Amino acid sequence: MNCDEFRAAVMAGEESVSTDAHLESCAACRSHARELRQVAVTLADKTLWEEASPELGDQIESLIVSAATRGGHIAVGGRRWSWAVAAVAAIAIAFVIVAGSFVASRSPTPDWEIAMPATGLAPGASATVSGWNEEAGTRMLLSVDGLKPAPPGFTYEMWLSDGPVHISAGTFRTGGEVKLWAGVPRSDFPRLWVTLEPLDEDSSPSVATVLDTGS
Amino acid sequence: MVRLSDRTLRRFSEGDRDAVREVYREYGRAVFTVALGALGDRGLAEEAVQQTFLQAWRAAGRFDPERDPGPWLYAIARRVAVDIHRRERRHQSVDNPEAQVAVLSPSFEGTWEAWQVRSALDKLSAEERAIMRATHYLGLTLAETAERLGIPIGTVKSRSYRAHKRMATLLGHLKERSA
Repeated sequence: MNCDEFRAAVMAGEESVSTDAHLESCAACRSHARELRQVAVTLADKTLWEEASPELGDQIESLIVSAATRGGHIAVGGRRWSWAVAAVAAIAIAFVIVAGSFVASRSPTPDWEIAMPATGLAPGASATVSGWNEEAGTRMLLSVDGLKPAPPGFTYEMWLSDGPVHISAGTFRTGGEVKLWAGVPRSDFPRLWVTLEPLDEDSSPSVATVLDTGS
Repeated sequence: MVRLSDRTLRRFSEGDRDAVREVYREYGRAVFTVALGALGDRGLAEEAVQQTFLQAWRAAGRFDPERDPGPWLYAIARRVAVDIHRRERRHQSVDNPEAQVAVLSPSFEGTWEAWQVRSALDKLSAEERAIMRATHYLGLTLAETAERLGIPIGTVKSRSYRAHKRMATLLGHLKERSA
C-alpha cells in the first residue's frame, strides 16, 4: 500500500491491517492520519451536502446589475476608482440629505440587501431592496429599474410574507427609489414581493406578481 | 486547486459580471457551506452568499488574478457571516430584552476545512460525488449504494476508489499543513 492508497482508505473509513502496516512504516502518513480522519468526519456532516436554491445565481446577478446601475463599482485602485469616488461621495451626500427623515436612528449602511428578480409579467425589470431592522419593524428602500408605471386604476404594492401570511409594506406607482415600511421583522417574513393591484377594496395580494425574491 | 481560466480571473478582476457568474458556479457551493455552517439557517446562509458575491464584485479591483480566489472569497464569506450573525443577535435582543445582550461571533471551527472538502468534492464527477454522498452522508454500504443508485457493485467499488484517491490528492495540502 502506498501513501495515496493509505490516504484514500482512511478517508473512506476503511482502516485495516494493511493501513495499520503502512502507518507503522510511514512517518509522513502518521503525521497526516488525524487530518484524514477529520476529513471523513466532515464528509458525514449534513451541512457539506446541503445545496443552495437553484435561483441563487440569478439573484446574485440581479443584485449586481442593480448595484451597477445605482452606484457602480466601489473598487480600490484600477481605472474605475476615480468615478467610483465621485459615486460614493454622491451617495454619501444623498444619505446626509435623507438621513434625518428616513434612517435617523440607524447607520446609513443597510442591515441587509437582497435582489428581487422580475417575473414574466415585468420583462427587463430588476430591483434591490435595502433594509434597516428597527425596533418597531422594518424600513426598506426599494430600487427598481425597468418597471413600467402602473396603468391607470392600478398601483404596485410590496409585501413581506411568511407562507400564507402577507404584510403590506406600501404602494407605489412608478419605479426608481421607493421608501417602504412594514411593522414586522424581516427575519420572520423572508419573502419580499411586489404585485400589481387594482385600486379596489380588496386588501389581499393579487395574482399579478411582478417582482419576487421567492420564499 | 484553481480550475477557472486565467482569462476568467482577469475578467473577474475587471468587474465583468459574466466572470462573476463563473466564479459563483465554481465557488458558490463552498461559500454556501461556510455560511450555513456558521449561521445554521438556509435563508440567512443564502443571504450571506448573495452579500459575499456582491462584495467580491465590488472589491474585484483589489483581487490579484494570478492567485487562487478561494481563500479571498472564504475571507469575505466569513466576514459577511459575522455581520449577519451580529445583526440577527441585535434583532433577537430587541425582541427579547431579557435575552443575553452580548453579540458573539458565530463558530467558524472547521469551516475552512469544510470549504476545502466541499471544493474538492465539486471537482469530482457527478457520479463519483453521488458515491461519496451515499457512503459518507447517508452511511450506506457499497452494496446498499449500488442498489440505491441502480449500478453494479463493481462499478460502485471502482468509482469509490477513484473518488477517494482523487480527494486524497486534492486535499494533499492538509498533509503539508500538519507536517
